[in-house]
Amino acid sequence: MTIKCKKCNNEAIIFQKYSGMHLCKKHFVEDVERKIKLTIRKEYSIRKNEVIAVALSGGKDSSVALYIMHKILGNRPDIEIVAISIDEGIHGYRPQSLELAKSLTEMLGVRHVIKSFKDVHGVTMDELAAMDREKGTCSYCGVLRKNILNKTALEIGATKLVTGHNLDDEAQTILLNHFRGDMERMVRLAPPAAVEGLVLRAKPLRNIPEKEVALYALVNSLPVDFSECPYAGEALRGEIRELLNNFETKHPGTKYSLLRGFDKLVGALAKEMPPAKIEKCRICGETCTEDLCQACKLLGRT
Amino acid sequence: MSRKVHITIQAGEISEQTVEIAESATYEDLLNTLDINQETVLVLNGGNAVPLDGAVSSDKLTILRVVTGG
Repeated sequence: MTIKCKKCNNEAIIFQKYSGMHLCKKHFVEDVERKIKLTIRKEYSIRKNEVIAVALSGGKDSSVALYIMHKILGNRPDIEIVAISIDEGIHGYRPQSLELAKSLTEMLGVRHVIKSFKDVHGVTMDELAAMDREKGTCSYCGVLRKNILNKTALEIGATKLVTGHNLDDEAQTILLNHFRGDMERMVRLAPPAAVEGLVLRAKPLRNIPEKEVALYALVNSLPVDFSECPYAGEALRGEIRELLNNFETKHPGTKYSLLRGFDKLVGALAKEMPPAKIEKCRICGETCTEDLCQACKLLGRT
Repeated sequence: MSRKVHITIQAGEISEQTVEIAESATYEDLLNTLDINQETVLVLNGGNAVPLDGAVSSDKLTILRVVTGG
């Protein structure tokens, strides 16, 4: 016995415990796209003549982000969508996903800019991983990648930088910040205000559970990579992911509740904690909040 | 009554195993038997995703791990 879609008589492909709905392929795709359009309209209003950069790794989240931005905005003659991929230099992992990223941009006919850690920062992730380090690999990778993404987005005149962060990522980060008592970081998670020198970030998938992003990629036959980075392992985040997934299974809707609560809280929080002063890095000129940016600090430039 | 289901688990690499489940088991029951959190996988029957509260209707399934670190 198959289960029918709540909206039509076709066979369901998913049961959304949090909404109580069974959905077929067509109505699942509609549901995901409706939520994403609503998120964009509410939080990242698109104006005329924008250049929208999409950070594309070739994994499921960023691939779905690019695919949907193209689907929603691809026919607007005044809007250009540009994919930016970063080759961190991770042997046995990144080359494959970069190939998938290329297939996707070719399939969609989207301009694709590829930058590498080696060219921009003079060092690969493999080299950094092998060095004596103060911090975990993910810290280096995250800081250096965001640095190149922002720089490249500025170069191409982008007015927004879209990332593939999904509901799980956001809920995990909110909980992580609570556990660490880090309210400065909490405020920075909110849809940001415009700051000269920093391209506005947008997370159109922040209301889509990770599993549904994967299902969306699967039913649209997107060329994506489900493999895991060999350096993955922010230990605390892994524990929080597990905790949250166990909680979500027992109490469906928990991830959405965390995000809703955060969205209500963050405005008040931001008033209590005024944003940090914006400065330019004295080494590289990048916009940051101290006299040395995180990237230059991590790379030991003084 | 119980029955056997052949499972292929895809998570970067591929592994295979056979599990025994109750005749009336759902996909959710199957994942619980395997100690896999349902938030982290898609279950595919003949390449198509299935709702996890449905009764297992095939003796050959694929579990696609979609939530990994990093």
